[in-house]
Amino acid sequence: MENYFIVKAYAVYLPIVIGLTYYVAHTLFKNGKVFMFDIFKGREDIALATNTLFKVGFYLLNLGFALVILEITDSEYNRFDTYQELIETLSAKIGGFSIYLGIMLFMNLLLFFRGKKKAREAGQAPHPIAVQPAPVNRPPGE
Amino acid sequence: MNYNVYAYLIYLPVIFWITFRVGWLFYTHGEIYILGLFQGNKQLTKAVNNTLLAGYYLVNLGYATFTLSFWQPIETVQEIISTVASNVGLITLALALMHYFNLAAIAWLGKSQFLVRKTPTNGADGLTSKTRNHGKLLHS
Repeated sequence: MENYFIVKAYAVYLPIVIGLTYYVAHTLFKNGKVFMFDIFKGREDIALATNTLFKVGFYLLNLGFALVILEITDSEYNRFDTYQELIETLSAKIGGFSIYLGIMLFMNLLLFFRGKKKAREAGQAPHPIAVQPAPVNRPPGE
Repeated sequence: MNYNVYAYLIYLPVIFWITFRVGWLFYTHGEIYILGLFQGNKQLTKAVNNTLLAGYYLVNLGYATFTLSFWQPIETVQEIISTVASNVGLITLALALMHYFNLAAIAWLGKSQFLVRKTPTNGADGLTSKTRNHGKLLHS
């Protein structure tokens, strides 16, 4: 049976999670470029490629997770039919997703810092992937 | 009457768009890593990159289309949204995992000397990383 409360909940949920993911990814990887340039000293192309690949991974992971947790169910005995339930369910889903997104943001930031530290540990020499021709290349975030 | 056909009409364009878009991004931005692994051998890089893209499309589009046959009947409007979302979400998550696995594989290949053939080094500096990098590629 049609339940337009659930359809309404989806109509609120989807734009919010997509917008949230876009905002977080945009902020993270706009600033991530600075780290990438630092890690791959002097190689702009590889820094931008790494940044883009991490951005794609971030979008895939978080939008995938957001879509997987979307479903709201109701049954004969437990109808989803009040605005109170709608708001409570949505707040649980969106709040939980925000916390998850925050953890992901910090994990990515941690990766950036680790890459920076490793680049610094390598001494004044540039990162292995930054010297061409060189078979030894470590990507990003390493 | 059920809504399955409508759900397919939403699902298929969405999943094909995601697959093509992501595949193209990997293809264009991944080239530089393969070039690094193959020490600037452009021809080999192009061949490997094209093969990888074709394999990626086959696996993903094939899987996306194949799972369609297992969908249950969709009776309500909210089920259209939730079924499409959970299927697209699962495939997207799988893509993300495969992507991170690929990044790890590139890191591993870069660190190891797997694609490099050792050439006889001359002199005492044979052990420094600088000379190690001058090993010749297997295929070149």
